[in-house]
Amino acid sequence: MIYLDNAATTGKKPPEVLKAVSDALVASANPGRASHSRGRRALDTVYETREALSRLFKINTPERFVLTPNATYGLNFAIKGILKTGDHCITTAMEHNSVLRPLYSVKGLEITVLKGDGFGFIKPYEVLENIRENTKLIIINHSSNVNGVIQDIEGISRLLKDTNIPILIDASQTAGIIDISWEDFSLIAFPGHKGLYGPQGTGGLYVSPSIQMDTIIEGGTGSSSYDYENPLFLPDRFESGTLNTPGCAGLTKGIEFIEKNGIENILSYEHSLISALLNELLNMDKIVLYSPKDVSKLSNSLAFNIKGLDSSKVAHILDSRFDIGVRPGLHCAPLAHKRLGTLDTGAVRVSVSYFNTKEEIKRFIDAIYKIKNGV
Amino acid sequence: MKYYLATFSSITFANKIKKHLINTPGFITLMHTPSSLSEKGCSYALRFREDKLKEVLDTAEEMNIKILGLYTEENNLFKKLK
Repeated sequence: MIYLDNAATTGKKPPEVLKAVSDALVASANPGRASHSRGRRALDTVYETREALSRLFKINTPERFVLTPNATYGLNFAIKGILKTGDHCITTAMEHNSVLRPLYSVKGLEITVLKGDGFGFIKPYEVLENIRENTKLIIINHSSNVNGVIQDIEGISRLLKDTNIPILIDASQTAGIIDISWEDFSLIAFPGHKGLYGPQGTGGLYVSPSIQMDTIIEGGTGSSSYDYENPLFLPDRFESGTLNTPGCAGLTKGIEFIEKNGIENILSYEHSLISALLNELLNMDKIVLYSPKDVSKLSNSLAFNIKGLDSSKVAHILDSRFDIGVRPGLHCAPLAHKRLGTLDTGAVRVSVSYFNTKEEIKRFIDAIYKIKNGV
Repeated sequence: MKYYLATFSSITFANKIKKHLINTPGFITLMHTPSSLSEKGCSYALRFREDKLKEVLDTAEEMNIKILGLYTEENNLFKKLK
């Protein structure tokens, strides 16, 4: 199969990730509970993941990386831990349901949704001019999981610096892909199984020391057991229950893979694939493109439709006749599709990884030619 | 040889110090805090030789990690230091 659905999860992982997961399963123990030798090894495994994340994001406090099963949990922790009835938050039309649904669930929350331009790109001043007295959180999707457009989160952070309003970044499509000054942000939610090349069931939430958050999941933390509430200190406060130690072992190797190859080299290569795809799509008739033509404005995805064909039909033909995997439909981002004008048709999303090849892109383009010409 | 026990709220903090010092000569162990010393239920401790005391204290201060309690250990008895 030609796997072009890496925005959902990276289809191929480095071999060292698989080995690390397998090795961690051979002699398991619960990290952070017992202090016997196997427990200490499990604890070291998990701590190495925190250190790897600390290096990747260039934030020198590993214990402030809360390990989660995915980005969705991290986003829920942040949104529900901070926002209360009567608060106001600002977000964008390009957000995923992992942001929108938790926001909708907070009763009495005022939500401003910034629409941005035709691709959903927000200018930093649009955030500033919507701030109110009761604005408690700004949530921005660093790169859309639909059309790949990258938001200027560094510009937003610079402009809002004096407001002291925390900014939560959904880095689901950019962690391990785009390198920025992450230390400027109070909260960063990310999955381990996409751009970080780790296994599913991994992810994290960075919480800066300036943030006070309520818990939404309470349980055993292996610490302060007499207390009725979760501890106040991180990471324990937000890590109730058993961590995914084999997943963490794999995630560390995924991050080391990125470090070995260089995050800029990986993005440059992925951009070369997206560029090749863009150039062809722009020269085809019957193609509607929903992503900017400038690849520097994209992460590693783009979205398009073939006129007259539902996106699901295109994806079905690609899969059944050409053994190519893409994702059609609404991508769990209905407001993004509303913004792009594709709420009725959905769109075909193509997303690459470091393991895709130029030959695969060529075969994808050939397939699109055939589908649009009814061959 | 006298040993000390430094207790911490979180195993992550205790392990952070231990990993930092593991490459220096000496002996340092991560262990569950004895129940008699644990004020809040479960907590974790570093057990180390008396000659490592300054290193442990300096590392904790440098890393901004709070030591909940510091004890001497002799003949399986613990005495809290001020």
